[in-house]
Amino acid sequence: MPCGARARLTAYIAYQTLAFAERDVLLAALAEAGYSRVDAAPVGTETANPVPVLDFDRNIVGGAALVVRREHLPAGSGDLAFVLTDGAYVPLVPSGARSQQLLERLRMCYGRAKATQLAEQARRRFAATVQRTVSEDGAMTIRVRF
Amino acid sequence: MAEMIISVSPEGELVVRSEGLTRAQWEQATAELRAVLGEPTRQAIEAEQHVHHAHVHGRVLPGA
Repeated sequence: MPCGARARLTAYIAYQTLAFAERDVLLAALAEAGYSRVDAAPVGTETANPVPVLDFDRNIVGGAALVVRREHLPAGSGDLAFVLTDGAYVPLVPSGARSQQLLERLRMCYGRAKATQLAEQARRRFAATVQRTVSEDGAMTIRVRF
Repeated sequence: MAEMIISVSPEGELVVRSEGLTRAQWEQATAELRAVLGEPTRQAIEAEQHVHHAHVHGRVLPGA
C-alpha cells in the first residue's frame, strides 16, 4: 500500500553550475576565496549597479553592485565586479587565463558556501547533526543526519 | 536514521542526495532549492520505500 508523503526516498538533485544569485552566499564565497573587502552598493540601490568599476589603468569601465578592488587581487588586474542583472550577480572580469582561474575558484567557493548554508538550515530545522569533510582537491561533502 | 548528503565538486557542481528522508521532507527541501536555484541540471528518485500500515476496521458492540 503506498504511503504517499511518508515514503522514504533515495534520491538526488544536481546543479552543474550555480548562478551567483544570492548576495550573502556570494560574499561568503568571496571571503573564502580571500576577498573579504568588497565595495557593495547600499541596500536598495543594488539593481542600479552604482559602484564604479575600474580597469587596470583606473578608467571607469562600468558600474556594478559588488566590486573587489584591483589592489586586493593578483597584480596586473583590474577590478573584479558583479553586475546585478535579472536577479543574478554576473561577474565582470578582465579577460585572461588568470581571471578564468579566479572565476573557477569562486564557483567552487560559491557551491561550498551554498552547501554550508543548506546544511545549517537543515541542522536548525530538524535538530540534525552535521559532519563536514573537505578533500585535497577542494571537493566538500556535508552529511546531515536526522 | 535519515541522511541528507550535500556535496560540491571542485568544479562547483552541487548535489543534494536523500538517504531515507520521507517524501514530504524531500519535497520540502527540493522546493526551497528550486525557488532559489531554479530547475536542476539532473534529478532522480532512485528508490522509494513504502511503509505498510495495518488497518483495523471494527466497531465496539455494547455488551459484547
